[in-house]
Amino acid sequence: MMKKFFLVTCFILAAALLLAGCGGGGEQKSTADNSMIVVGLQAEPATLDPHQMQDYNSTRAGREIFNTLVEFKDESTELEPGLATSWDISEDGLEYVFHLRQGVKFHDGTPFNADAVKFSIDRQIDPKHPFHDTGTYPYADFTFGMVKSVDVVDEATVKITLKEKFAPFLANMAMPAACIVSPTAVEKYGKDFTKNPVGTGPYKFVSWNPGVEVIVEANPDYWGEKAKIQKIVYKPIIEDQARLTELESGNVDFIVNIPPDDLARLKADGNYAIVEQPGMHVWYTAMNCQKPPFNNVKVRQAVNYAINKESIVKNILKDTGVPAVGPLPPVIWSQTSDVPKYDYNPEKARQLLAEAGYPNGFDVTYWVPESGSGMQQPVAMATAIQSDLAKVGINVKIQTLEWTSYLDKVFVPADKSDMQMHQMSWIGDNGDPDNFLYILLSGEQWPEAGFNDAYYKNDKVDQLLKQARTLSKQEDRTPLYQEAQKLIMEDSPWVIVDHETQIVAMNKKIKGFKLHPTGVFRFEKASLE
Amino acid sequence: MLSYLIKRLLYLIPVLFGVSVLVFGIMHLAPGDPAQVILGPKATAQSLAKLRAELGLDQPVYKQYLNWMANVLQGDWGRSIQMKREVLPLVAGRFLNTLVLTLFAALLAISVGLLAGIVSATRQYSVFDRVSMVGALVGFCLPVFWLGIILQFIFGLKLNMLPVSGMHSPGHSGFADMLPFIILPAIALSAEPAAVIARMTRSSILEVIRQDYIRTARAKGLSQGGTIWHHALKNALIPVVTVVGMQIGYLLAGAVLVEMVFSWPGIGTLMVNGIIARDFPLVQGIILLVSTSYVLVNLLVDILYTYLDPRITYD
Amino acid sequence: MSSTGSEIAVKPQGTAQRTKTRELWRRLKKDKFAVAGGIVLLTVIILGIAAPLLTSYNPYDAVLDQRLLPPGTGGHLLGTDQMGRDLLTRLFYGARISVMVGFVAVAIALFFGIIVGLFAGYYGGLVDTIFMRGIDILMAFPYVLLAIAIIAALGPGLFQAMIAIAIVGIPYYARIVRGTVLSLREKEFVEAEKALGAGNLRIIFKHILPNTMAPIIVAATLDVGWMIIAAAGLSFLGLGAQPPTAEWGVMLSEGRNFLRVAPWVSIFPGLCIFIVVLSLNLLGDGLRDALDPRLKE
Repeated sequence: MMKKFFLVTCFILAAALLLAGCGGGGEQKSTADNSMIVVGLQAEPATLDPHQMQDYNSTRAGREIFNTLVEFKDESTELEPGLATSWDISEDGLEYVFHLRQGVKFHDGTPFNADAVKFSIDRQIDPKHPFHDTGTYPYADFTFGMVKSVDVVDEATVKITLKEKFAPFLANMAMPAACIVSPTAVEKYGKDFTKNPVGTGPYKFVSWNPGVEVIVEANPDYWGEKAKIQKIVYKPIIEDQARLTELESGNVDFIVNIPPDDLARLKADGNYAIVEQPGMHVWYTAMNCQKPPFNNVKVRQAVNYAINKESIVKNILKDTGVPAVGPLPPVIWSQTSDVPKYDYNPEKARQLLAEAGYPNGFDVTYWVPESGSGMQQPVAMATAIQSDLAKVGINVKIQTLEWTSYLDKVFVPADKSDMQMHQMSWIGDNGDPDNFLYILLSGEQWPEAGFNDAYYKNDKVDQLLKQARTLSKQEDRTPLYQEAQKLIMEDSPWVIVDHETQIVAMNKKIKGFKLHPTGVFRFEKASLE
Repeated sequence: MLSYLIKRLLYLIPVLFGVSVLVFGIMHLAPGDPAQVILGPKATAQSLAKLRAELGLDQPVYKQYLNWMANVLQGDWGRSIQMKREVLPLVAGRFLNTLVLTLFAALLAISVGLLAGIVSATRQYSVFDRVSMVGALVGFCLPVFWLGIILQFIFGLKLNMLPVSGMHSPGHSGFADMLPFIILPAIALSAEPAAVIARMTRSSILEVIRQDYIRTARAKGLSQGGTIWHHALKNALIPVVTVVGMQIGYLLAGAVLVEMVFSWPGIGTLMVNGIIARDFPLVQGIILLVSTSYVLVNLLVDILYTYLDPRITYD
Repeated sequence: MSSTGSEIAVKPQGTAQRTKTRELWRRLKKDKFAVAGGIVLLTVIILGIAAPLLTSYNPYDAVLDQRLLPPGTGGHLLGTDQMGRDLLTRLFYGARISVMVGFVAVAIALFFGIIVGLFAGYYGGLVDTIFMRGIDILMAFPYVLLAIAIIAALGPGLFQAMIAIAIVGIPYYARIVRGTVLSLREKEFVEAEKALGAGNLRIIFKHILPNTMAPIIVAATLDVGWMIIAAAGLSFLGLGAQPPTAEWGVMLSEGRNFLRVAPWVSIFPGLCIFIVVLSLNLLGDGLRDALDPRLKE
């Protein structure tokens, strides 16, 4: 009898070994590769097709396989030539003519030309395009919504015509959705282009072992300055503590999302290089400007005075964000500090509440997601806000929701909303102030049309923001945005807490690495010691 | 036996049908819209409507179910909404990894549990017995995720002996390369079932020892060791096998947590993220595969009974 | 007419039950470990109930400049957590919630498990097939998914998590009860009842149910601990009780992020779970031994 039991056990063992064998099934490569780095990401990339990307893990692992016509400069959202060497914008601001770089080839040998540009954009916006059904394109509307047509003028020239004047368009052409992909590769792989990406970028795709790693290597034929780090392995490491352990035990060279308390420890340790860069991000709590009690500007100001934002940034976020003075992060041009400020002042808050007719405060429900992209530490921050508001008599009830359900509940038309206050954050896409101010605070952008989730409306602000969209010159637009920021902070539809700082920790052997405000890692500019 | 097997396999059909209806219903009735997830918070109402139509989400739920079922039966499990890949190869590959982890943990749990249980029973109230039973209680009480993090801390960081995340070293594959990666997650996952099996084995052997026929055997002059080995164990193993079968189900659930802690590329993270993202085809595919294998494991356990206890017959 | 008949039949059964209980209690009292377990459990429950009297701190009062104080500093016996809250206070309040989670989840599982098991076992045939296939479906369904689905529908929270883990327990009890019922169904006293014309429901609840209680009580005692740990697992996935709730599982899973800089934040709640599960196990083992005299010489 025991023999049989033993046999069964052996059988299970054999099955385990067999399965393990099938699981791999690849060749063994040499370990000692001193031109390689391993990067610990928060999760597995969802796709390597730039037109379908919408999360950091995907853009970080895949963005460098591709180029765009215009690219962001290092550490800024200013633009510089990419696959287009120059461009002309017509007087009326409706026609953009791009002159393309010559002699560039995709990683699969396909020549880069005007047809590839047209293919890359039409694939996303033209439902009749033969390869439209090879994916779903989350950013197509946002990036190309105003595009009327894309025309091939000749092999090296492409003309994009807009439906209406839209100043931020050029910046859109640097976003992941504007990456130029190899048409031959899309034709060849169809929907599986997502795991067989082919572009013109400084790194080319090598392999993707699902759940384990994505490997890219330097493109020896790159048209620009060639990458010095020869191979990069992107590895999903979900638990923050595990990612730290892997860095500290030397298995991983570069990690993201370091828990604030451990960051202080890593800094003190001195064995790791820490790189920080203020991100295109804002974290806020929106109040429903259309309904009592928050339809009264004094109440909104009182809430702003009552919350100790500095303390939240210092103690909960451990300075992993910079305290905000307004809705625009400092990395975005036209941001100004010359706006009404709300330093912590519970006395003033009580006084304003009394003036507004709430000397004894009131009860309010506060919606909070349990987690979410850009939300930092939503529950801890909500708890601190709850505790601060209690001191001025505002009795806050926190209601937590799972992120997807949360978005469903928040983005509903004003007349259907029973929202009082809720948390939200925004991560910028193209570095243009329009991408924050118009989309989040214009009266034309109430859900479901847009993302003005405070249902804020000020006619003067609306007019300024609309006018700024139609001017092409940055110096003409700047004063309009600065005026709008002042008015918005006066009305204070939000409690704005911070702009999150991007922080990475890495092995000191990596030199010359700079973070970019878009969150993409530009390893092609870095080198290994 | 054969007719019993066929009958049991036929039982699979209603169970799996029920599971498929249940998972489909839950996923589709829960609030949250996959189109919203795909297009992100920055989507407009009309592009959402367009995508819903493309995904067939504008049709009545029963129609969506029938379409899905018809495709699944033809081997087309659809394409993951979030991961953009075909569900069947994606899930099958990941499930294999989960299975490897689960089997390693099961082996570890069974061998450690049985050994500790048998030795404890033969030396009841000895130091070994006391220590291993307290150890079993500790193993039972430690949440897997917490144990996992502690193991990472000790073996990964302090002793720097073992890797703490993933399944292979960069660019490598194959069994030998996997071994150091599987040790810590397998230990974390096996702690609870090992504890349960040890306790069960001990008490079940103690119970059998006290039964009459063992006393008789002992009276006839059989040595205690021989008696236990030959007579007690095979009878004592019957309840143990039941527990092992049940524990394998829990192992699959525990694997979700362990996979998160150790970033093991199994179905755990895929499933949790899939549910959060309302990735209908993916989650439905995973559940179908997991349930099928769970039911098959139970069948295997029942067949094991016949080997261990000839008194059980199947009609 | 039939009722008088049934009372006569029941009486010896009822008396036997009472003597059995007394005998059980006598045996249980002799088991040092079981008694210790019971006392510890009772103490934890009392500490939980009396929490407001035992501490002057508020478990939800965030004092951000007093975060992660080590045990014994700043007037905090066990230190403070990541929000500057007194850890001991939160452990006291957490006792209420965590112990309740375990017991309520088991109670829900018991309730449905007993009903399903009783009816499936007593009626047999088609009822049995349908009920037990339903149970198979539940068993084949990973509970984490069930939890996430419930939470997607109702939002994350303690109550939802309790329901999710309770559902996992249903098949377990349903099977135990069904097994016992099957063995009782043909017993003389049931036959006698039937002959005297007692209704099925009456037989099930009055005569069969009490006889299934012994194995269930033991299983349930041991299961409470499992439920507490499963709830902690859901908290780890962000699906259980929500912060800032002072629940041990939440505290443990939130504290894991501070394991390097402030290990006490997760070690103490872990220890509390351990103590409760341990005492429940000792009590459960004692009960089992007391019910089954063969095991005690």
